[in-house]
Amino acid sequence: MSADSQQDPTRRGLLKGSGAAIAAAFAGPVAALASRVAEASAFPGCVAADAASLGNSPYGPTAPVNDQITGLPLVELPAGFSYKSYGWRGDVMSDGLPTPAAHDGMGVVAQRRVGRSTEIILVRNHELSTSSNAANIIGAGRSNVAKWDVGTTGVNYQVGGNTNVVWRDGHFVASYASFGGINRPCAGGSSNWGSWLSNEEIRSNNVSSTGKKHGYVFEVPADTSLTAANPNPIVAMGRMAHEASALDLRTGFWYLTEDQGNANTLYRFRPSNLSGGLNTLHAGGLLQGLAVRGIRNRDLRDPSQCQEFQCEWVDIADPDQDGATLAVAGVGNVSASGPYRQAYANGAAIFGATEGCWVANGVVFFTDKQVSTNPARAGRIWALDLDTMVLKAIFVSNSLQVGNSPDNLCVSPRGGVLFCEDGGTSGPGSQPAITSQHLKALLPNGSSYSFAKHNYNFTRAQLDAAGKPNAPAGNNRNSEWAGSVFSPDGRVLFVNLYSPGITLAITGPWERGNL
Amino acid sequence: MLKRLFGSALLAACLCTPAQALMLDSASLNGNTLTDYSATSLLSFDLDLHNKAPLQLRYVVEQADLEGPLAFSAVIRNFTGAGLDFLSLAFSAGGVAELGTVTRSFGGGLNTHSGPGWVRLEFPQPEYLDLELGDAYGSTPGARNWLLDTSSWQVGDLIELRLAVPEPGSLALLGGALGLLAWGRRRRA
Repeated sequence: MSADSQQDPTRRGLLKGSGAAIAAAFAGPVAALASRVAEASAFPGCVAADAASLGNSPYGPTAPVNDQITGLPLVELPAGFSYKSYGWRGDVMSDGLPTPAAHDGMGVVAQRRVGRSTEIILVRNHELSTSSNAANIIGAGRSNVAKWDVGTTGVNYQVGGNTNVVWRDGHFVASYASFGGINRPCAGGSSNWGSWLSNEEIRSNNVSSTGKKHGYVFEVPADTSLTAANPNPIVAMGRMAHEASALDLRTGFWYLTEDQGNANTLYRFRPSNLSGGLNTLHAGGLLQGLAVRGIRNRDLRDPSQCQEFQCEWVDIADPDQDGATLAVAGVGNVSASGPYRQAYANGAAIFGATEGCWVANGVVFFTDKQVSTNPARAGRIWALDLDTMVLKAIFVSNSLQVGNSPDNLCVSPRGGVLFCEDGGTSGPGSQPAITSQHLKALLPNGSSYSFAKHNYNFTRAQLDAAGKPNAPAGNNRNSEWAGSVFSPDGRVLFVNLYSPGITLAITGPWERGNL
Repeated sequence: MLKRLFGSALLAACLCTPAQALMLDSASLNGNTLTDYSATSLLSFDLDLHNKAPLQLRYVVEQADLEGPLAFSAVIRNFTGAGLDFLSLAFSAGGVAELGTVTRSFGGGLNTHSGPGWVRLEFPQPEYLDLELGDAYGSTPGARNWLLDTSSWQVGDLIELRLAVPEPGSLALLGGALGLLAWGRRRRA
């Protein structure tokens, strides 16, 4: 176990300095909303219970709402909300390439003024794995699109990657390929220096024909026309089935999740270079895993609502170590990444499968889709207070109606916790079948409510009439939501419909609720 | 005498250099944020609304502003967290000679009402994001600036523009307020 050293005040000062520069760019309403987040806490109103319940939405019930671009009712929203769609799978992007499929994690990485216009740049993950066709590599044939690996693993190329999306004055205006040659980039996280971490979700010891491995974190800049992405991975952040990564602006430390069933914990990455900026994370750092103090390998897969644990960090010496089978006490043999094997050996806790991750006001919020029982994928949401190192189960669902595999998660500028469902379709026991996936949010007492519902179910004729000949016909209502993130001013929610692959911008009367 | 000399010097400056813009003299913003982009023959500003309190902007008329049509454009950004149901603009003198475009960030309907010296924009579906009046961004397809009636303006006049984003319930009060718009032209010197 590592003794948690005091943070170097000079380094903290440097980080605060860079944060201040960013804050200046986000002055005005953003600063005002940020202060509201500062008033939030790690759910002090959490009501202890066996499990959370489904509450009424402060925004009211949802109903189908027509997309302002296509006229199709892609989603259900509360009254007063409207949205625009963009970047449908197959749509031609600004660089002439087709928009890749599998829209997943996404972040706002920059907001800037262009003349009188306000421009937001998002980086979007496309969670594609492999293909035998090299032409399917994102940015294939484009030298300006950085790529980690254009070789084959077995007979397949790695075809996951990223696109950048530009939003200006309330309109989507551009998109282009920004990174390629990676395998299954699921989620990631935004830095405060204008970049996105794109995280491969694969635990593999394979080596490709170019001598490269996969399961790493990569950095994608906001504007790759100015600065191309560094094609090399941030090895020190670990090689594993990554999910999300989230930056704590107070310290410069990153928090990471891992979607490796029954063999994962929350990770912390302490960069050796805390000054921030493109490529600073590549300089290395210390990776650590979360452990419950005094209880080695505490099984945290089935907590009760509001249950708390005093935690600490344990070191991981080799973040690039191969994965292997691991005998986990009380669980059995599991497939584990190299980082988790080392964290486990040092006493790290056990989660089901951690997914979304977000840091707000010194609290790490992260989801565990919970892959075991009671029922599987009902989900948990945890809050780790970084000042006290108290971990609290702020949402424990025992029903797919309450929570259905909570995946990506974000905290709104107003302090509301929003999560994307990526769950099952059949209700456990006597519960009704699941007919669509939801965007759900938490109430202060730890219960959830539905903010939005997936509603994509169209015929070929409807899609053709809407100008979307490349979009698949059929029912996609049980496809996951992904990549939820608010604009810095809190006025627009950007979010993806993973399948068929669409990005949405939603606005409306946010002040009616806690988002 | 000193004022007259200063005024002459200013006029000379206007004649021998590129024409000066309509000058923002003062404003009562009530916690909202204004960035003025007025230029020659153009009244233009960005207004970031953080609340729904009424605002007053006061501009000084320069010679160049009266030498041709005076265009008007604005960006109204809604940071109030609530929807905008109406936007009213009222001028202390003159008014809108020709309405240009109104572009809503997220679409939705628009009803326009106007009278001597005032315009009221009504949004059947509230606006939660931004409004572009005229061609403020310079890039919106089809956007066209408004034209202001300056026939009653004179050099040195202090023209006041009042803006309000009233709630539907306060519309009756607004109507009364609009009826009182004959508050007259104020001369500077």
